[in-house]
Amino acid sequence: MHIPDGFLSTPVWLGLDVAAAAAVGLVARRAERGMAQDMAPRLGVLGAFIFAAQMINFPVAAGTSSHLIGGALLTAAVGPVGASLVLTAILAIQALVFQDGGLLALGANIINMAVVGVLAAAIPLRYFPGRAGLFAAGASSVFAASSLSITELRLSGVPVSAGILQAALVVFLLSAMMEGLITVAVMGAIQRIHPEWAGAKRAAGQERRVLGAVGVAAVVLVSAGALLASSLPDGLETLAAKLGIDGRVYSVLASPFADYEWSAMPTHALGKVAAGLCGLGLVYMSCRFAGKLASRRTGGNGR
Amino acid sequence: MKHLEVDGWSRRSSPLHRLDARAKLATVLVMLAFIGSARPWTARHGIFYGGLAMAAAFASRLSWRGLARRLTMVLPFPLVFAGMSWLASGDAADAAGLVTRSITSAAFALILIGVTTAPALLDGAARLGVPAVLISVTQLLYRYLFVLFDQSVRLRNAAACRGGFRWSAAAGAAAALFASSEDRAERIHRAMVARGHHGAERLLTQTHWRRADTCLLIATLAVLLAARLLWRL
Repeated sequence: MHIPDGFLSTPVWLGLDVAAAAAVGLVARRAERGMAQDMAPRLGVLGAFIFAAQMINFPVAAGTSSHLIGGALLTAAVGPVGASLVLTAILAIQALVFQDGGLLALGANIINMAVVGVLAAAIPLRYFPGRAGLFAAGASSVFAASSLSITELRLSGVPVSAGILQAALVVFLLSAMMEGLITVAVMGAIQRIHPEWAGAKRAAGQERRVLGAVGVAAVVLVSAGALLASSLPDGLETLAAKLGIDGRVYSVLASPFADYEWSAMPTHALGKVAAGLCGLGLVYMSCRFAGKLASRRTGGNGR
Repeated sequence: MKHLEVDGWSRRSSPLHRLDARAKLATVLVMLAFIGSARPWTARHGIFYGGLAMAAAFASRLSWRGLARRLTMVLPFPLVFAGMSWLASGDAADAAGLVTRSITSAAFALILIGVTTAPALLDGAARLGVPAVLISVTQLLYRYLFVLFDQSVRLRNAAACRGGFRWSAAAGAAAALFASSEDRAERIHRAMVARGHHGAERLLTQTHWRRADTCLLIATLAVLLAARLLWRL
């Protein structure tokens, strides 16, 4: 999952380095503002714990084993801001000391694991208390991070055939399930040692769970959707082509998102991902706006 | 442990060791940016940037065998993706380019950490504007990494003597490690406060930006720009 230097194209590594610098700056500011005095030693030592815990092998089957990756466990232990900070420090040490991941690709790795991976873990942890939330947090953090890394490689022009891509997605899915199971097992054991941890999580209502599930599904679909999206025409377009009327199609309004692709992006795949994320944001904002309007009319609280 | 070898290298002496960490960090980032933006990557690029990496290795007076051994650790990921790329496109030269570009970039990062101690590098990063809280966390993480690593190795060896980890035993070992890490963090915080810690770490010896640092940065930029403009390298 750690992308080394030399694999990403200039627009991809440069864009992700800038995005990661902004994200880390924001996280550091929030951490400095809200962090207790003893938090820095705790974050540092828990970061070292994540490294050390990766030495412990969990038996899987037929002589194979897996190990904790730790993004979700960190998010559960210290919250998304702390987890993001610790994972950034871990990635920097891995790139410099262990040559695991590149220095120029550090921005991409931070975005994949310390930003998106932590967000993907934080959403289920917030909306689903208990083991289901922990499992979903572990699984979605690994799946989102690994899907993003292969998307970035494809955007950079590394040729990956459809068969290899499908095999990679199956491997990512299996790794994600393993991470989910290991996170549940380790957190269960921690709660047996520190029972006060069990009551630390806030109970969430049914409405929040549904919102969380929709949010996770949307992020995962947008992350992986660009990889699997078919470039073939849909039924109506095929019919129009057969009838010979497809050439008569014209646009009343020129849009930068025509054909579900942001034309300003350097590559087709990047354009599709960007358009997907913008669409997701627009739909969310529209729904919120419509909800507020409706609640004003009915006198509701506008949530 | 293997990573201590690099820590030992960084405490040796050479012209590169004596430079300011900021100059070394900036020079390596410039070098990596040029390598990362060289498209298409051909054998000429490999020879040019590989030659520069070898010159840096020579100036650093690090062990060639040690450097080569550490660089082999980088190989798995590039080899897997180069193999995938070769299968998908059938272009062996492109796949080989991915591997050589990745290895050359890793060589510069390795030489950087080989000629700069971790505290000096973090101090340099802090003086270049990296947030203080991130530097603090990274320093503590690096300091306790080896301690917890050893504890983890002991847990693993003990489990191996008992016939290996079962699922629940592995979870229990990780939880015990977590609990001891939490306790250790609490003790560290108390010790830091007792020694008058106010949130900022200081180095015992601090390097200063000198003329040699400016020369290194300007010379590197000049060579790379000339190579890019004249020979498209």
